[in-house]
Amino acid sequence: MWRHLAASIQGAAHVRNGVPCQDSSVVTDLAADAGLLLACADGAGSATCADVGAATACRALVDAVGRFTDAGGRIDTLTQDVAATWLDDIRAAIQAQADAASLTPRDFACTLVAALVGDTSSAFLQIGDGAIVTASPTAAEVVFWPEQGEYANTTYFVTGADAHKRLRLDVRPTPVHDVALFTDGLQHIALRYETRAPHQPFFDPMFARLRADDAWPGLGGALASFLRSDAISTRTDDDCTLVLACRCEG
Amino acid sequence: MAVVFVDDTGKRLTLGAELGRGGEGIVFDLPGTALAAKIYHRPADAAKAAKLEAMVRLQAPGLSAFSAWPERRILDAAGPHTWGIVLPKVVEHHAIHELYSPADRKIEFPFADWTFLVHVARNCAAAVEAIHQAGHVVGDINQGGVFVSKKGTITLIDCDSYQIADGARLFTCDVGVPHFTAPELQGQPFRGLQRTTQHDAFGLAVMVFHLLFMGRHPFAGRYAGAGDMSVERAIREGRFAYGSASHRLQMTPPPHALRLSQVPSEIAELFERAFRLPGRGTERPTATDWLLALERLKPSTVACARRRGHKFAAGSATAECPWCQIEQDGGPDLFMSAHVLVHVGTAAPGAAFDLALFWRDVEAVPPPMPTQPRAECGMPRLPPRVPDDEMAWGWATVTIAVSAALVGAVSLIMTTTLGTFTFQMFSAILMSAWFVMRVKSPYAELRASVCLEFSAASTAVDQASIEWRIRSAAVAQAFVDKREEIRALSFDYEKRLHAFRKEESDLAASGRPPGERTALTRWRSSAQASMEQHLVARLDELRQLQASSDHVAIGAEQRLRSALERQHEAGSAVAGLPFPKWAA
Repeated sequence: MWRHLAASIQGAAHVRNGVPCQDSSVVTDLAADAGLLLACADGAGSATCADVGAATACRALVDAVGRFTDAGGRIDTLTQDVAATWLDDIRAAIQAQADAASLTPRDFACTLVAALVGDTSSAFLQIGDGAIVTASPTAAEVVFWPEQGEYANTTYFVTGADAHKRLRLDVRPTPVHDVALFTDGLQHIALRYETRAPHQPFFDPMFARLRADDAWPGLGGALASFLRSDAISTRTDDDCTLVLACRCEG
Repeated sequence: MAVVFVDDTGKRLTLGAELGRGGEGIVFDLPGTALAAKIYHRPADAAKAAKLEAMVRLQAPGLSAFSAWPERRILDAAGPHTWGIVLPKVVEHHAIHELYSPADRKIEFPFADWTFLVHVARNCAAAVEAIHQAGHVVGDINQGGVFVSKKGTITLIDCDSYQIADGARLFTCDVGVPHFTAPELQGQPFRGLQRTTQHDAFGLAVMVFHLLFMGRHPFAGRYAGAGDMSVERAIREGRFAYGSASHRLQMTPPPHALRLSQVPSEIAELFERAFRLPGRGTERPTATDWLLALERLKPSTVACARRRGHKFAAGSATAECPWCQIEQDGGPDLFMSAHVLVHVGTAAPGAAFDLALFWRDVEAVPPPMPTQPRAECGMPRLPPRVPDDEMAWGWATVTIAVSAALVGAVSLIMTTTLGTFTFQMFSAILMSAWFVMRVKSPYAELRASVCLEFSAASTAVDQASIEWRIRSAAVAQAFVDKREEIRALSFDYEKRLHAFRKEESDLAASGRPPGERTALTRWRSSAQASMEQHLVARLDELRQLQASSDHVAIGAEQRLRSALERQHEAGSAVAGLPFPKWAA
């Protein structure tokens, strides 16, 4: 039994410049109680249709994973090749959007961070920045340390020519206790760069609340207002997306 | 405040408005004077008090010409404490990064071209040279400590942090900014560290580089090796991104940057020497070296034939305009605002149509900003999920009940009419299966069509959202093109006007009959009038483009709203489906 929450907020810089929130996120059940699919995508600030790109990437991932599980695929049978076909599907969906508008996929550039979490196994995939944090009562870790692109403030995108090379996948034969996905707006607040570890005081209260509150499906608003609070907004002016999930007994 | 502030001479000081605030203290106006008072948050300790006393004593015209050198100390009337310093007020100056950063320059120094930047670089070198000649060291050269006026003169501030030589006694500079710190000092604590003019030479070279290279840092580039290459690390390892050895150092300059080959070789060599790792008798160029080289560079700059705001070094290895090259490579026009000045400055004086005033009108039309949909977060617009166990069971119950009733009815009919039980059962099962299929398929079709409508509506939302930016970007581009057209026409207008005047004066000098002259004048004024009308008409078009950008945004927003509404309805239809996913 999983509990989950997700929220995206528009960064102050985007409000100022009249740019929409370019983050997107999704949480959906995998078929037949096989667990959850969580994903978030961060549209490139330099791309004109980055928000559409991020939404398309999330949607296409849900479709691709749906086809995989419908065909009997399970988390523990996931391979790099399968993930590569998902990426192909996402790129095809973005290409279709670009073709319809006579633009190039570059105009829809976005990163992608996703997790498939089941009762016995889990899988994580990522292209570009943002991060996935897994936590248990005893330990917390960052699955892939955020990757920086060629220049400062650049990263890799699902639309990039080297996307397949940049696709990182980690399939684990163990379930996770708590998992959080977030986009790079939160990176410097949620991660400790000196120890390359999650900043646990940031996550612990949120997971505790999610576990304790039986009215959890209604907590989305509280999460969004937390992301809008001074604690966050004074430290980043980028869009922020946070996706949380925890496994509860029974 | 309980403390009564007096200066060295015992004169009581009345503080005016707060002018600025830093980590160390607050700067107050001293009303009615050209001076300001810097009051520390805490009274100076013994060493600092001695340093300030020395600085006040050592003030000299050569120092005050380039810096806000302390003129007097501020003391506590009642006690022994030194609380601050009286120094010249720095008014109508900007921090130097507002000049070298292209984005800020457009606003604060719109008329500055590259020649002006060379001039300011020269003045920076002169200011540092003055400090060095007095035996002191700046120590903490950085973008916040150098102020520049509209005329390009330099005032160094925060002099109380400098390393001061007072005879045999040395007061160290205990602060520094890593990006401007020489490699041999990187990572060292600044407190008590003895600085030399060679350390300043590094900071000065970084500052000059920022000025000549559009605010770029000499050690910020693309690194081909493994790991992150921070600017501090690059400095420590001598990885000058623009130098002749940059390839070996695995560094490449960032895109759209000026190259070292595009400045004269004398300047390029100074940068190479300044940014090399120290060792074996190599010295960094001194402030004087920079001063002399930059003084030679300034008169050798030329204007580009295509864009008159583009100035560059004639003596560089490449004769082409580097700014045009950057533009052609897809970079920005780094001196956009400087062209306009050239036009305004050379407007025909006395003409009824004033090109300067005309350009002021052109400038007054705000360029339409490309707008984007401001819809709430771009959450992936997935159809709401239908799975609902109760509904699933509800459907299953109906199916079973109907099937059972049907099986019963058919069996009854068949038993009474035919009589073969096996055949009866077989037919009954077939018929009920057929029925279930028949009942199911309309539901499946309904579900498919509702889901299809949702995905079509989602596509429409995406399209409306994309179309919005394409249209608004098109208007913004049309505006830029129109301005470019007006600029070209203005150029042409000026050139023709000049030619007319020359013709007229030639004619007057030649002593031809007055009739001929009248004819020329008449023809000339009608040609001029038509050019002016042409220009004014283009200005109207520019204003129309500006106005149309609002319509585009309003129209685009309406389309997006109706698409969102359609999607919302489609979403409700999916959610309202009386059918669980598995059954379809």
